Amino acid sequence: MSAGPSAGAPARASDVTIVGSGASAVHFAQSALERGLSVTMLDVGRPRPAPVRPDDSFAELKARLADPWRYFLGPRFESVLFPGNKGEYYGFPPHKEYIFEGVAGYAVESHGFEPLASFARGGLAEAWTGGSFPFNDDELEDFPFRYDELGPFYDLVTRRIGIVGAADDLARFMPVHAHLDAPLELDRHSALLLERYGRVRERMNADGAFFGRSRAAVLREDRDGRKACDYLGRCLWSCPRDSLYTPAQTLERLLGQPGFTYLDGRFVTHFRFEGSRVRALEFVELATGKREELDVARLVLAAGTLPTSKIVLDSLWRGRGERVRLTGLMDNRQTLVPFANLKLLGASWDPDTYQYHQLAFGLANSVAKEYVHGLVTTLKTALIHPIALSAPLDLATATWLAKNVHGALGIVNVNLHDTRRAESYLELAVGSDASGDARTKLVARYEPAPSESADRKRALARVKRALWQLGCFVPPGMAHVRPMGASVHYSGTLPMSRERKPLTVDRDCRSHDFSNLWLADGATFPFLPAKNLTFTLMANAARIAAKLAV
Amino acid sequence: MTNLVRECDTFCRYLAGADAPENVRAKYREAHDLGVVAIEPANTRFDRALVGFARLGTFATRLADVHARFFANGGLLRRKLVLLLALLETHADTVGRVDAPTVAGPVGFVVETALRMFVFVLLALLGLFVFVPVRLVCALGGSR
Repeated sequence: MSAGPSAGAPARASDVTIVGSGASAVHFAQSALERGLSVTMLDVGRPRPAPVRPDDSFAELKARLADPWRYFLGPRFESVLFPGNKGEYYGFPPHKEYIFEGVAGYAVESHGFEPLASFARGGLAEAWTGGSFPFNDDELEDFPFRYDELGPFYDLVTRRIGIVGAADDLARFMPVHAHLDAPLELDRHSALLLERYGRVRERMNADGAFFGRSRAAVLREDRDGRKACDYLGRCLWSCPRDSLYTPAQTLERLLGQPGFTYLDGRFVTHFRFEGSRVRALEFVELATGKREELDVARLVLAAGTLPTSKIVLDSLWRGRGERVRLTGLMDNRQTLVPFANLKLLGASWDPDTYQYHQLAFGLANSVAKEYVHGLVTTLKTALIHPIALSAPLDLATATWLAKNVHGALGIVNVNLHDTRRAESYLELAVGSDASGDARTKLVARYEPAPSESADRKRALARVKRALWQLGCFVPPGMAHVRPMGASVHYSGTLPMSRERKPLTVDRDCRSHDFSNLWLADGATFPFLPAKNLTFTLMANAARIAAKLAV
Repeated sequence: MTNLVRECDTFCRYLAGADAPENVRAKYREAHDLGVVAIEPANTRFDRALVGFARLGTFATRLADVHARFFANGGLLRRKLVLLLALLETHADTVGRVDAPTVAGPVGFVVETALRMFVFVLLALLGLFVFVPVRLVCALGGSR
């Protein structure tokens, strides 16, 4: 049976019921459908707004839109970053705000952690910058399988979504899998950096610093209704040609497939179980506010680490009265390091180029899996007022400086690995609303590893040294340590375990507590390398779906 | 011409070297109507004094802004200026004034930067003489 959005539930339970429509969910669903299983997907599913003038470039938008301020700054100017606000060097533009719009029944109290959640169609990865970095055997050391088991699914996902990249010096950190397309054309600044690396390579490598092309889920050629990157320069503002991959594109294709039912407008609160079997999902129909139930045969939670964990916590509390703590919450600490290329001071810049990271750093560590990963973005179409206001100068001088260094500006997003620790956890707080009904809230607490501050400083010193060797200067005091939670690489709360323990899953992400429950998202990761995990989420979801009995 | 339009023009000359076009003025007004630059719980007397001084002309704006960067960074004046910069950089008619290079190469950049830094330091010192007494007067007259 095929059904479009908002269709009713199937008369009997599908073979598989999936919660969520993010990166893990859609690739699990696609693999399950390919194996002949029927799939029902429940999701809040806020849709993406239609792209604005999809053929116009970034510069053309400023000229042709009747109200460009509304597009770039928002109807209430909410994208203007003011001094004193806790802003980043670049933020989410107004029309990406739907990705982070909340739902009434989902509340998080956080300590040392600034969590984001998405109820958009396609989930958090709708804001993904496409970084597709496979984990290697060192990074999979704590996982109950090796790269040779996951590798074929990296190949599969690459074939599905299209990934560009190169077998270069970064291959020592990122295995080279099949179906990689050749990288996109470099912008002038990135080309200059890569050319310079060619000349100082030996010196940098001796310091453990390696440089090369980033890997990104973006198309060089038209495919599946998506268009090849045409260098419109609108990446930061949401790709209007769907060249940059997002999970909503896969969902769109699944909607037409036999055996797939998509139930949007549903917010899943918990599942009901008897003994060790899940019987039904409980959810709220958002349009009516009514509570509903859906019988399930096999349940797959793929709503993202925090929502998935909340569903598990809620289910245990409502089913058994148990209030448990899910330890091991992880996220990548990120630091944004702005830099200026001395050769490009006063140079003009071309906005009609690819805007996200085209280059990447790898800094080797004595413990191989603790290597440091850096994404290099040369800033072309980012707004300059957030940069100007952060300079310790009056705004006219800062603006003069910003416009004359704009062509030389770049930013390295430095990522550190994370480990599961008892001090970082999720648990449930229970209260009641005005009518006396129980209300639950997720409590997130994060404590950085004791060594994090020193690790971060050491990594930053190495990044600055590497940038200097590449002819770039890091202005003092401008590095910005992002709050924990900002990277949105949440993981680790219901990890894969070789031992059969409560609140863990087996090597195929099947729950050790409930025989017909699978967890398909980052909650199952026992270790978080310094890399973006989205590509691995997709590959792992496809891997475990391939093992479901038909 | 309203005070807000005059203010917008003055600040625009300070940031971009020319009066604001009508569409930028309209957006500047709209943002003020929406309360975008308002500070919670209220603007301080010193904030209002800085804006009033800055409206006198582009030199006054610069002097007030240099001082505000260190002593009232999240205040009303800085918020108004940042709003205006954001408006200027997001329209094709004005973006070139605030986001296109004006120096010729790295050497020109270094020379002009040095000059601008020198002026900045002088203005920062002058700002102390001008605004510290104003701040004291405002403080003695109550914080709001």
